[in-house]
Amino acid sequence: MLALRRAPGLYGAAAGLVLFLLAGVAVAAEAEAEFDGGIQLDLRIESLLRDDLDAHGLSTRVQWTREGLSLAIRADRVELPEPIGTLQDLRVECSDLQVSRAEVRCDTARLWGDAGDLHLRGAPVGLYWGRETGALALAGAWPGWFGAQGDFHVRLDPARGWDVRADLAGINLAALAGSARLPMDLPVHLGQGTADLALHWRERGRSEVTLTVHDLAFSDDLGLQAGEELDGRLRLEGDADGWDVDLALTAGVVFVDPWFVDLDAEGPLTLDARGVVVDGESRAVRADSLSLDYGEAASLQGQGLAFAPDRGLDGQFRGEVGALGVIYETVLSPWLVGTALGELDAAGRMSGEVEVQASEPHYARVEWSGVEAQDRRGRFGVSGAQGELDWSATVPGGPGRIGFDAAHLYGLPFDGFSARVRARPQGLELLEATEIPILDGGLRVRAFSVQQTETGPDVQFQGGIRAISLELLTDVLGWPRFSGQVAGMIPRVRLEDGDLNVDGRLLVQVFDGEVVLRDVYIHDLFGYAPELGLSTQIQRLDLELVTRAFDIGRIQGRLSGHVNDLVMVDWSPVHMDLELMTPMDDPGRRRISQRAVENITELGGGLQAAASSIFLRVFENFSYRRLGFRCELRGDVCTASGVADRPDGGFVLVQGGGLPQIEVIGYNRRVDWPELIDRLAQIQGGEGPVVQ
Amino acid sequence: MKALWSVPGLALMFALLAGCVTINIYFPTAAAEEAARAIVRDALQVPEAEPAPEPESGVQLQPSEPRHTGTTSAAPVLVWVLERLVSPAAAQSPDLQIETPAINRIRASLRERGPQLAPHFRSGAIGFGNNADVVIRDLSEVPLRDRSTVQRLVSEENSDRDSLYREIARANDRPDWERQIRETFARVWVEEAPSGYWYQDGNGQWQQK
Repeated sequence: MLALRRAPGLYGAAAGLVLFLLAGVAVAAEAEAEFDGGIQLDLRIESLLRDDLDAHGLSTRVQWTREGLSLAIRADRVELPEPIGTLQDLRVECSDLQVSRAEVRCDTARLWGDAGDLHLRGAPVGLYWGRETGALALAGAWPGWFGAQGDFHVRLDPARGWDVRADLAGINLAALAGSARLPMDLPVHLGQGTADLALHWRERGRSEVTLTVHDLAFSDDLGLQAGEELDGRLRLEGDADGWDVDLALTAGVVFVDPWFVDLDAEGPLTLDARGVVVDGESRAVRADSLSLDYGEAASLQGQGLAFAPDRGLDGQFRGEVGALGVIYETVLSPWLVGTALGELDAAGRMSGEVEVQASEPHYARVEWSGVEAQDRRGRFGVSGAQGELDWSATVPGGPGRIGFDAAHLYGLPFDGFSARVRARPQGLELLEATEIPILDGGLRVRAFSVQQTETGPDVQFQGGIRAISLELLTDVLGWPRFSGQVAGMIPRVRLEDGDLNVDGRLLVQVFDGEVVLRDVYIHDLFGYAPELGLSTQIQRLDLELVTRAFDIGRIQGRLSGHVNDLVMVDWSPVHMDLELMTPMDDPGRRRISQRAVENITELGGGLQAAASSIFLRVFENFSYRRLGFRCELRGDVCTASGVADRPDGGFVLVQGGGLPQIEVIGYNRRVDWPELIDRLAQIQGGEGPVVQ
Repeated sequence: MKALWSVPGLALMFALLAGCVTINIYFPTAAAEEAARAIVRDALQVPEAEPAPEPESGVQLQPSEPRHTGTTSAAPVLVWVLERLVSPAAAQSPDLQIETPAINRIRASLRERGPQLAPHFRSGAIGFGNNADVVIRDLSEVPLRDRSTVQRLVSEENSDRDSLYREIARANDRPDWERQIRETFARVWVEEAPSGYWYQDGNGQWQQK
């Protein structure tokens, strides 16, 4: 923007310089008319002031000799507007001034001058004045400034205005950027790089500029915006009614915090804009169309674009992402670092359109297909995701759909599903009931909506779980195999401060009994240590089925109880109040096998079977009156107790009934929970201890 | 001893008791500092044997200096009395709980990332921010291709550190302590950093240790 503001200065300076040079030619032409013959005319002007020209110590000498007409103009000091500034010892010499009725020209003029950092030492130029047309022209070889070679041609025609051509090769960009003459402050330092410039600028009519950059290196102070070995091309063509801009970065690497783009690996980045109009005063920009391509990976087209600093951006965009993996790696993941979506292996295709008003999206339509996203930490994954959404900022959008072929959450598999949904201005709602299959059952979703509110997302969920068999579930989760099934109603799910709270009760039918889960919540689901909390009521489990599942001998009878305030961090329990007892109403047949007794003894470590080994050897089974176990788990330590306490400090785990009578008594009230689980795993399916 | 049980003595004792109970409700500065130091040393992989660096501007005092022993002989007695009086009254532990699965996981993650960050700390590309985070200082010397990796490491580190401070506060059932925990860590990261590392002072100016 600075460049735009200062451009009139540059324009004025160039105009002043050209006018000054051509004024001399005009004076010479007049001289020829009056002094015919071997005449010398000296003209001294102390100072000459014009709008854009302030010259001091001006002298002009015109000589008319046998060889022809020659002209020399000198000025001690010429003040021109920035960026040319002060010129010292300016001298123009022309030895073959050609004067005719139509024109005055000097093809072999030479220029001298000193502008501080830039010098002219007899630079050859051609000067021209059309006496009838009033056209003035200056042309010559580029005087080697900024390392460039080439030529230039400046022409001012009253009928056509300015016409400037320059064809320069090998411009040293670092030298140019370091020059105080640059009409703007660059936000970066240029380390190296060269450029070729082909310029044809016309005041009235179409202009063309092509700037080709080779091997450019740039960086800002902190290295947060930098590029190396960059090749690129900028082409502008047009006039005041509109410019066509073609920008292409074809090779090299760029880092613009936090994004890194390797153009060699991922293809060129090109931007084509048509009909660009910049309003210098309001700094507003308009463009008829725009097209942005990033190799084969993505493309974006825009129509009817307008940007104004006080309003923002307006326009319509259409985009296509052919390789979601590349776009995820280069564009999205630096942005998503530290979130649950920050470490994905992604692939797929997306396309869509968005209408932007005042920098806010107003309408959008997006479609995606074949989307794969697998979390590198294995927490979740989805494959074959497809869908389409139609969204508007003011009214509910048209019907859309979402679905996937397969997904998993911490190993829990979801099969393919598809559902009709509708995007709302601040959220999403399900249009009809659906079911996401899980093993042989599924998650039934009767109603679902998510709405962004000022306090965070408000999730409404109503549905349930259609019976999932526990055999399959325990298998895929790698747990000990249970039989039974889990089902339940979920009247509401709330998401508060990242905690997922499930209202309602889940009924797990297992071991011919029932386990009712309630107060289920998940805290920090995708964090380092997700925390699951719940409480359960356990009703009449058939111990025969339980002991068979865990293969720890045989116990007949029923078991009821509860687990209150179970907290599992990273899927291991760290807190619970567990109580499992023989129910005293309708307890049924109660028998415990010799092996079960031995295993319980082994499990407890400090337990003691108060029966002589003779009993154990003689009898295969014992009857019991009651058995039970209580555990207050805090961290790794379980404070254990049984169905009754004994005066000697022990606690009764199995209370005998009838004959032969057996009692299993524990003495260790502080049990290490992980060790208990280890032993359970060892005993399961093991041979069992040998009874002496 | 008799004087202790006089009315002023009892009043003093109650005052001490009341005072100490109040201290336990407020942020346990010393415990937090100790916990932070353990975590920071672990993350930076500072050998345990290495003595804690002296405060930068502090004059090093020999332990045998007389004026030093004068104060130390009085202090432990006072501390001992307070501890004996407090232990039955103040049920809350003065320790700061830092042993939870979440904190252990985060510590493991910090430890794992430590060696990747270390060369960039040494080169001055990154430094310790004054908000107990890691801040990009000057990436100019880092090869361009590695800059987004450094940026990613810094983002991940900061995400972990945010989780760490939040989890410590949560593990102690005091989410409101997060700010003080962060302030403690901000100080300790700098104190434990090897010399040559850069850090931001209170005004956000870069200083080198």
